[in-house]
Amino acid sequence: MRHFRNLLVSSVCLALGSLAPAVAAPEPPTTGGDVVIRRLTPDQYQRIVRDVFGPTIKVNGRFEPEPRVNGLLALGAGKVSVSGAGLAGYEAMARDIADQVVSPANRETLLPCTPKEARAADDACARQVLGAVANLIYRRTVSEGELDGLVRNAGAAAGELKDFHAGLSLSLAGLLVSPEFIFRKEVPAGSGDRIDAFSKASRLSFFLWDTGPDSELLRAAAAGELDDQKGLARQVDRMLASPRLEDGVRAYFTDMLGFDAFHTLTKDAVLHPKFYADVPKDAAEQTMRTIVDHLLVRRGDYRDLFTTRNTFLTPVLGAVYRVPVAETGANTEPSSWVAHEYPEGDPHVGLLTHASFVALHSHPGRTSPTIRGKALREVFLCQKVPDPPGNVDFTVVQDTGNAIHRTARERLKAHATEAMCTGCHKITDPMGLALENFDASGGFRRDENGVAIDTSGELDGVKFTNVAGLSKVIHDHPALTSCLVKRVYAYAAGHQPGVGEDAFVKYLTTGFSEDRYQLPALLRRIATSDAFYRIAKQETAK
Amino acid sequence: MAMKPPVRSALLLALAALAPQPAAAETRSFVVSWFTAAAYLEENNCPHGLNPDAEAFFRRDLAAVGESQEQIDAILDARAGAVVGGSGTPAAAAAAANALTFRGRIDGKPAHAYAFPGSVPDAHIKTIESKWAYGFDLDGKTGAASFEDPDTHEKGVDNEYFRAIGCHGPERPSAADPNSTMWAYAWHNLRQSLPAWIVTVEGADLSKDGPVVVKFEKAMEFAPLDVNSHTMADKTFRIDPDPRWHNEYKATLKSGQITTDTPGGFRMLYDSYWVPEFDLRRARMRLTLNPDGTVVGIVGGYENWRSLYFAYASFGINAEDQAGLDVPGTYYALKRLADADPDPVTGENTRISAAFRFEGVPAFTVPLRTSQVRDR
Amino acid sequence: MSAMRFTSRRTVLRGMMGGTAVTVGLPLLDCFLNANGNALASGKPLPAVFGTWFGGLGFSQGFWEPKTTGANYTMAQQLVPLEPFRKKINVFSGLKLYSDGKPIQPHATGPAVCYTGDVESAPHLASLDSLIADAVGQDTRFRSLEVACHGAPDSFSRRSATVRNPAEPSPIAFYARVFGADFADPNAADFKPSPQIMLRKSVLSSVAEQRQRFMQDVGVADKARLDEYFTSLRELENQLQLQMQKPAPLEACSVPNKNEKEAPLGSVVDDAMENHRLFAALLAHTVACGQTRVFNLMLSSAQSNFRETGSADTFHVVTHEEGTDAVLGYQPKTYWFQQQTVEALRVFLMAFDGIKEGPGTLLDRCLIFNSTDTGYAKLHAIDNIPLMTFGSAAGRLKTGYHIAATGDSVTRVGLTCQQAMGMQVGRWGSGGNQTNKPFSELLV
Repeated sequence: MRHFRNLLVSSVCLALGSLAPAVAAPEPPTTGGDVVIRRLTPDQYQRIVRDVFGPTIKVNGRFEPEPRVNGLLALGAGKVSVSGAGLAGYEAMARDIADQVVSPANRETLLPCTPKEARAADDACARQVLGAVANLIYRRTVSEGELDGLVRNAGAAAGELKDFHAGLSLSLAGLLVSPEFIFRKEVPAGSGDRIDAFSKASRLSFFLWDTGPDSELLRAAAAGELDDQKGLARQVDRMLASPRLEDGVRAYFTDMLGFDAFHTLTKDAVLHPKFYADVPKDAAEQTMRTIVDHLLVRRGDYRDLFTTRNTFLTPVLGAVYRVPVAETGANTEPSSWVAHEYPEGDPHVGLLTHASFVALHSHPGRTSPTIRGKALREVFLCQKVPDPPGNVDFTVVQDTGNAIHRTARERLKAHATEAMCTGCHKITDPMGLALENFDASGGFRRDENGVAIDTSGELDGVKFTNVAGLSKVIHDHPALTSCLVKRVYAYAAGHQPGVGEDAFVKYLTTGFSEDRYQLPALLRRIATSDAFYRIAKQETAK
Repeated sequence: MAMKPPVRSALLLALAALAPQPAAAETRSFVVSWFTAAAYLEENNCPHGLNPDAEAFFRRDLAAVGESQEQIDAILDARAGAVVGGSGTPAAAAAAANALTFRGRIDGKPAHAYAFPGSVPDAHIKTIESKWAYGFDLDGKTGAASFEDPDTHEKGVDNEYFRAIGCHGPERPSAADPNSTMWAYAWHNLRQSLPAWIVTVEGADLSKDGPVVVKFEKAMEFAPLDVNSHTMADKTFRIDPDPRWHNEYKATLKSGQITTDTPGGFRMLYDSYWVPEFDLRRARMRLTLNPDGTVVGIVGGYENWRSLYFAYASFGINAEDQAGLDVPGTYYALKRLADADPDPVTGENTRISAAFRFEGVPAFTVPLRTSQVRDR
Repeated sequence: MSAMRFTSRRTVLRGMMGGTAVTVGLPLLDCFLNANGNALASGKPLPAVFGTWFGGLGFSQGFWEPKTTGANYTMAQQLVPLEPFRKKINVFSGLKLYSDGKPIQPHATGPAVCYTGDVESAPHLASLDSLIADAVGQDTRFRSLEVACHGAPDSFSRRSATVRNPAEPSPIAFYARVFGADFADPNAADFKPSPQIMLRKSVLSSVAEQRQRFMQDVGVADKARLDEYFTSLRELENQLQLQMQKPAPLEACSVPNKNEKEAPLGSVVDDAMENHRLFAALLAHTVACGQTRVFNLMLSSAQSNFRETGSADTFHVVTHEEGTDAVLGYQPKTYWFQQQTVEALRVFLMAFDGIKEGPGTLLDRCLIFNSTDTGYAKLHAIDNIPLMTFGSAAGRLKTGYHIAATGDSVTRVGLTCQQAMGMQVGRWGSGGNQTNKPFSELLV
């Protein structure tokens, strides 16, 4: 996987050599949005630890989950706090990380100095260590006074325990438990209508890299460069050209596509015996590789993700899809990824036919055109489908062995004749039924219970006969691109765009089209805009 | 091993596009999911009972080489206590295992009973006495000693290997599970670390009667298991180009049953601690393509009986003490029942007729690229 | 400034500890315990205890798996003797080992994955119980205790491949080790607080002092969320403060009668069952008296060598030799041996459930991981390995469930145990046996 990522990364760097917007339309005025304090996501926490202390340090522990708000966990991160058990978890994780950093196995490579006396405090060495990491952990310049306090903490504990490293570890752990680290707080600049330079740096780095700012970005922030359009553009272009952009893009799509659900996805072992431990992981990775390859390496049109015949497969995914995919490595090496192009006319077209969509949005033992249709509308078109009412009799739908209604289409038809159901099912089922060739684990099938599957349907007035037709309709649906723009912006800014930001979102949507729907161009437009850093005046608590 | 019928027609096109060699009009490949000695389940085919357990045959053999009752008791007591946690000491345990392993006698001196099984007196173990056994008429003769196949009702079936081992308790299948013999135990434990075996059937139209070609080949990959611990279906395998493991037969498909037309060789790499490789001569094979997409079959032929003996000998004291298989007794039975290819010097038969049963699930195959051959 | 405050705390620390034990005069019936007797007066519960219980050669395929899943399952035929404890037992079926193409070593591979999460039991890996002991076993007299009932010092507990924790096969010797001259009354008045705890608390206090700066310019909605964070911080400080105080006397602790007799140490089933009975009682008292928070018990070895008196054929030999009874559907003698394991489990659960702690029992405070080496013994299968857990880890694990998790690795149970024991572990095992999925539905 590593060598693959490197390959991608070098192509990304090449492709992003120049990224000037296609048309320099003026940015409309905006009111700015609310400032929301966000809790670090588990991935962000782990990535920062890796960035600061290196890959040998393992993050062990459980994080409290975020709720999904307006389709994004990133928005849920702005709704959560830390419970008592959660804080105990953070403290244990922090001590575990700090202990690893100062452990005999790591201290020589990770610490910039050795104490004069291992069994006593050494303020100079402690200052060197804590000074090197505190800015990165707090994501701002830490004051001398703050650093003095950290050094004293380390010294006092080292004296008490007669162990320099144990003292250092306790002080380091304190940094990692601090709200300055766990919460992403954005501070208004003096003017009150924009966030300050360090907050800008954080917004940028979490948006594009899904991690905290690196030293260069913090330097630029401290030097006031982010408050200047040229300086900002320089940093943004540097970040877009970095291999870390792949982390950011993966983080966004993992969130948007709801891949957190893979952690708990199970399939009926009798009906789907190939769906074993690695398959969900591979299914999610298949989609991520397809997205990264298409959007970053090839700089493709976002809409073409829904019609592309190119993807990446492992041998075990090949077994699920019933496609020949041979191992390329030696016998005992892990399965390797193979680029795969489906032939013209093959029903496997685009993201909708990936197991990461059809299996994720199915029941353990049977498909659900309704769930798939709902997901399609909500995930890709930003449309809200109402939840089913209470008191519904699902007997017919669930009975896959029904002798009369042998396909999902027939069962749903029988079910949706009940007046209270008809309305909603009209919204979801006609598209969901087009995916019925894919069983609950993502495997292809032509018939169900001996009856040929009818995949015809329509979406918002456009009719189609099969999944290729559906994919084309999605590809051409105007909401597909406006939905992405709105969601990427919400993800980056931490709030659902409000009325005062409508014009800006429209401007982004038009720009996306002018940029031939290339994602990096959209990211750049947002990151270099003024609106991205604007905030509405807010009432502060005292 | 229930599974849904795979959708093949569309995929065959995709496969054909991938395969550089001209393929037959219809090709179906299977990865072998079980391979065991074909043991027919019949209540009364050991009319004199099953072979005795380890303690009994240890006593018998030790007495036969002249150990006193007192000495025998001492060795077996040490053995009983020898097993970890017994009252004996590790040294006593080792001594007991040693005494049993070296219970043969050559010129009055202790000899290794598995390396030199002839050094233990022939106990004439019990063997199958019945009309029924799976397999084929390999020699074209229907003698009094030959069996009838319970499925095909072919007469004159030669399967002396089954006769030799069929009255060992651990070698008998159960009604609940035909794959519950020592051979199944071996397969179960080896299958995930054994290069997969691939059966391929090629023909003009496998839904109709007619001539077909059957291949039995070795893959480069192991066969992974699915969540139910069955061999996973629809996995792709690269075929090992090594000609030693390429077996190809002209065969005829009739009413869903495929039978090879003429006897041929059957050679397949197995496991170095069980049977290092199969090398069946004048082999015949039959396969049934099941409606659920799986295959079952029987392959029969003449195998070097010493290769089959090796499976027992290499387990040695464990085969005897832990699984209750009388190793020297089995040696004599195999030697006595060997029924083909006499050694030109001694006149003793070197091969024994045998039959093996296999099952397979659908798989894809691709040829190995030249670069990968070099990499091996 | 936080550091200034820290200095003053340090002064306090010096005074409090000074490296020597502080003796606090306490009335014998102190008010430390709450009215129910299962927790300190402050609400801090008695600590969770982890154990492993191993019996070789599993159960009979199709006869131990409950027919229904979830709560209120019905005990399957083979486990019916455990019915009285069903609500405290979780049964896991369908779990397997992934061999990742490595050769399977019958009997060794199963325990290797159950205990280390690794199919080869790689040399650097510590066993599950040892990982847990690292986390919770530091403050007790014994980091962990190992016993074996089949006469040999076998144990799957190890700190690495080279550092194994051998088991004590003799109940008499075990009594001497735990309750002999070195036994210290857990209710004694001497107490030495841990400097680590105080220092951790000081660090948290300095974090709490960041509050004012951090709360500046915070919106109304965000303020409420940050208040919660600081409340949680305060809670954690208070918990650490409690650990600075003398622990509560252990109401349920009583020293068992010295056992003068034990059965011959060996693999004869009756002897092993008798010694198991003695060990079960001794372990229950040991745990109730706070002597350890981690233990390992082995009834029989992997490839069980159990045999009946006068017979040399071991349980293991029987699994290979015996045919499956056409009417019963299982190997009858194999089944009989397996029922000895079930009976031993019943005795063990009785011993732990028989010690009352407040409204619950000692068993409730424990989490005991029950595993074996094979699924279907005749084939020595490595799928459908029967696993169970007993007890709720002091309320952190829901019990009384049958989880059918076909196709998942056994490591899911090990990871669940670690998390239920409060460990910060997100992932456990290696290769195909690695998992990041505990049975979250069981975690409280």
